[in-house]
Amino acid sequence: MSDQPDMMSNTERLAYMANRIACNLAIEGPEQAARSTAEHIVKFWESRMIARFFAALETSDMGLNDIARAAVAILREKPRVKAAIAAGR
Amino acid sequence: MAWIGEYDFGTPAPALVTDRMVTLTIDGQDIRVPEGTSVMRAAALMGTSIPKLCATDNMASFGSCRLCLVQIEGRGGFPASCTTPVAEGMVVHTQNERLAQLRRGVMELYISDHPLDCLTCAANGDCELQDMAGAVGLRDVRYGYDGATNMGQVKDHSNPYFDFDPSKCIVCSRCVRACDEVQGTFALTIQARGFGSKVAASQDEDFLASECVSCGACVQACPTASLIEKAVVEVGTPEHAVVTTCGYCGVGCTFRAEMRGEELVRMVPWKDGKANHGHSCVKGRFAWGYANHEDRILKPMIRKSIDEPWNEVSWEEAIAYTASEFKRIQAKYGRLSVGGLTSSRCTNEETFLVQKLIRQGFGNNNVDTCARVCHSPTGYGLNATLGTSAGTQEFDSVMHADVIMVIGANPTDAHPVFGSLMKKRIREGAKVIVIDPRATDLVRSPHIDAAYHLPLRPGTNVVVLTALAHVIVTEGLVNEAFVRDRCDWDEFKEWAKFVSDPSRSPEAVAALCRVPAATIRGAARLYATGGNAAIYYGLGITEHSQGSSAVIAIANLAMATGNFGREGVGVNPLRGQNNVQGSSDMGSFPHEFSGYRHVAGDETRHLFEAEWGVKLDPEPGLRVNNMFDEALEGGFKGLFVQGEDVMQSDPNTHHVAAALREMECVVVQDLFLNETASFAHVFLPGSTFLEKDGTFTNSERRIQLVREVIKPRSGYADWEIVQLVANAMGLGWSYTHPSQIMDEIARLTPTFAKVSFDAIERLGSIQWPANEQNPDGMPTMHVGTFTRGKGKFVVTEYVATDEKSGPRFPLLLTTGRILSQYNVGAQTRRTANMAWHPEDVLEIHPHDAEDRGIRDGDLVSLKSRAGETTLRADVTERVAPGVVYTTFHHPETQANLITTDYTDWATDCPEYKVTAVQVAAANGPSQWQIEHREHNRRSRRIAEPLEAAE
Repeated sequence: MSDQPDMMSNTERLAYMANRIACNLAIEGPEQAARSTAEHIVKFWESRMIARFFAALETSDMGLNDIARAAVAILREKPRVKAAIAAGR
Repeated sequence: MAWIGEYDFGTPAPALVTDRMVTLTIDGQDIRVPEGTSVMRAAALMGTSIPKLCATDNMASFGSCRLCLVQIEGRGGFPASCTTPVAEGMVVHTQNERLAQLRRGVMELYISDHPLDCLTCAANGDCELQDMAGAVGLRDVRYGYDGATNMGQVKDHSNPYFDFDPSKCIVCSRCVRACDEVQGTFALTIQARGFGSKVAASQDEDFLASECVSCGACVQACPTASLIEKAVVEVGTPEHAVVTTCGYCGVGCTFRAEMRGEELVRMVPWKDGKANHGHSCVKGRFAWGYANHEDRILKPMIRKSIDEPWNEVSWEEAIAYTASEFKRIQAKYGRLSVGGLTSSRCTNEETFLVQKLIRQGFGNNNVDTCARVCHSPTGYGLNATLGTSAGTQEFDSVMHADVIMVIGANPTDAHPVFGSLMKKRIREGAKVIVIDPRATDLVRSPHIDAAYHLPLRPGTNVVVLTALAHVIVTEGLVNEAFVRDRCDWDEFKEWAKFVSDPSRSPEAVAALCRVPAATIRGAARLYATGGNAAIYYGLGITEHSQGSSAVIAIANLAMATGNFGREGVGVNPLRGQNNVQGSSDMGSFPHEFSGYRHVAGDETRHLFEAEWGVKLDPEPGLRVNNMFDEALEGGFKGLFVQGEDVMQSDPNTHHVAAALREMECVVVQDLFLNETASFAHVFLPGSTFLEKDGTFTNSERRIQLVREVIKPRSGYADWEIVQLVANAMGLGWSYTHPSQIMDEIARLTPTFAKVSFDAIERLGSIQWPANEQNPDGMPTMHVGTFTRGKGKFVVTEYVATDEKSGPRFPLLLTTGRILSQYNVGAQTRRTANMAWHPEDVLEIHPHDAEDRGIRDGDLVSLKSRAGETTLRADVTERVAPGVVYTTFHHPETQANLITTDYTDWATDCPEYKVTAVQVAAANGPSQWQIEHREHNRRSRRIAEPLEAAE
């Protein structure tokens, strides 16, 4: 991990990315935005990023906003995400 | 300079394209030409060269030299053929005794005041004055040479690339006109009158000190040796040429590489170049000497540790070591532990091979390209709204625009030849709107005066774009017929409702974006009602945390006003590098194959599997910034970097350096030991654009040939090196020429289906898509229908960046480019272009400077939460108070030490354009600069070869 105190750790970056996706899609309305956020993550995030994201969620809420949290619930049911989580363990 | 091997018709084709034809008789022969053609050009078209000196066909006629006189039956006198338009039934004589007498008289006058050193003159054999003396049959000069002359004047050697000898000037004004009409800088003039007339640069300064931008247009235009390349003086005139495409920016100028034997003498812009039409900038024209620079590495090198010196080895050893290391790493850390970066400087074929190496050879999708850090939001945004991830027009389209909106782009610096074309259109009367924190040359410069300049606060693009939309919708300026016909009406209504909200009006957001409401309203009205309106944008749009949203907002504006599907309109991303469009097209992204098709799509993936004979990974891979994250987690250990310098170009330098240190095998394929090579274990010496065959794709989607001018100095072209690596990994490639790679691309990529080297040769260039429906390509997209069918309006709500200025960091830094340097400067810093920009400087407004006790030229520290560097201050009103600006061309400055880890929400494109900083006086380099200098010194050592024991 780089030693800059003011820069995000990898886990913080994942939370930042999830929150930013959610914020920018929020205009779609909370339910659709959550689905769109989940779709975006499935489409673009590499499997280890997904695994690390969910591993971090096991010990903290990561400061996720409401839409990102809703997206997490949707993501948990996605086969690709399940496989990534399993591979990460 | 004569157009070697190219014919000069004397005057341009008529400005207005017309079907009306005129029949006239020249020297007894009938000829039919378009109305508006000059007599000179008509004669040239039928093979008759009327003598001329002041006329040349890339500039308007001037009529000053009086050499091109003709006789026209029924008309008195002897008019100049260059300024006389054809007329129906005109009968012209281009040669008779009287005309010959007049021409000889004119030439006598010219030669009476011209040095007669032809045999030793650098232009001997390439001099139009010499040619005309012969053409008119000049045998003696009756005036003699004893009177006053303009000979013996002091030469101007100040420009590093060309000389100006006033003694050889015939005051034809071609250079002045070239600077005006072609380049648009207006740096030259004819000073004084009559016998005292002379060419002067700016306020009679030397060329280097003047406003001259060294584009070379004057040198090209000069018919004598008055303005001549230093290379021609030193080497001699060239004798053959190879046409190829420039390796610098996304304009994609084509040049004649003029040679003497195997030596490149000069690069001359090609008249038939579809992107540049015979014009160039200082970089493409002159700054190619880096190919022979002493820093150039020509032998492969390896080392076990980055703390050791490099060891030169054979190609066999370097390639074998590379392959074995990647295999070892994958065996130890897993299939996903390696990846690579394609180059936006290399050809389409080379880029395609790197992503093929990674997908077929490494078995994953960990491939990315520098488009990630520049125009990836363009791909996302335009794909979402229009269905295609690229610009919609060709460059020439700007000549049909009535309103030009330039957002976050500085084309006169970063796309100079296109910038010149845009300025030409503005001089013809097109109105320009500039949305940029800085007052670029398009705001105000000779003959350019923007109708509106919106100097918005960095980070508020979406606010301003939405406010523009608010005006267009609420004032009834929407092109409803177009929207109903071409777009989804329900989506439009939802978007229109959103932008109409009073909270998004110019009045409501003026304080936030720091642009007066009246300025926003005026700009919106002009864009919507001014006629054909085109938007050009650059990294000032994309390199933000809402980069993709801003691109979408731009597309929304253009759809709402019906500005698609014809010339003079459109949405035009100005791609920075010579082949960044191409590298994106070629599947360099971790989630897409070539042609922008997702790796999870079975149909596409099976197509590639059938061609490549291997199962391919359906999961998206790591983006470049995520590769660094993963490296710090211990899961990414091997990186193949072709033609990229991530240590200098990527944001958050500390993070990149830490990540590279964690890797066990970094392979750099490049020309020089760049910043990234300081962290590398293998160096494979690459080839310049002069040393290979292939294709580049410019910002217009125009695929053009790159031709080998000199043999690869390291022994291999870049594509050959990748093939060597692939075969060492057992992939069994057998390409013998890049054309075969393009054939494979065409088989696999629907938008390239009709592209081949033969087709490009035949057509000159091809703009994709080139398929069954459009076999010769498609210059203007979305004619009649959008690629996705109906255009999609997408609501873009403003979400402020997390990067905030505050008491600790009260200013906002934005970054950009300058004309004379290119990107990280690896090429241009190794040329004489250093004369113009030897270091990056910090532009700071006088108020901010005074608050800090900073004077122009002072050394200052620039600090953000990411890091600190030092550089010199340039106190200027170009930037608004509260905003500072610098370039990123010099590794000593390392501007990206300062930039942060915030990125675009959709694509992870770094937010280079918004960094909260503080500036203070400094008395020396920063600690990082000191340590980095030492690190580079140590890591660039090359061990002496070991002598074998007897």
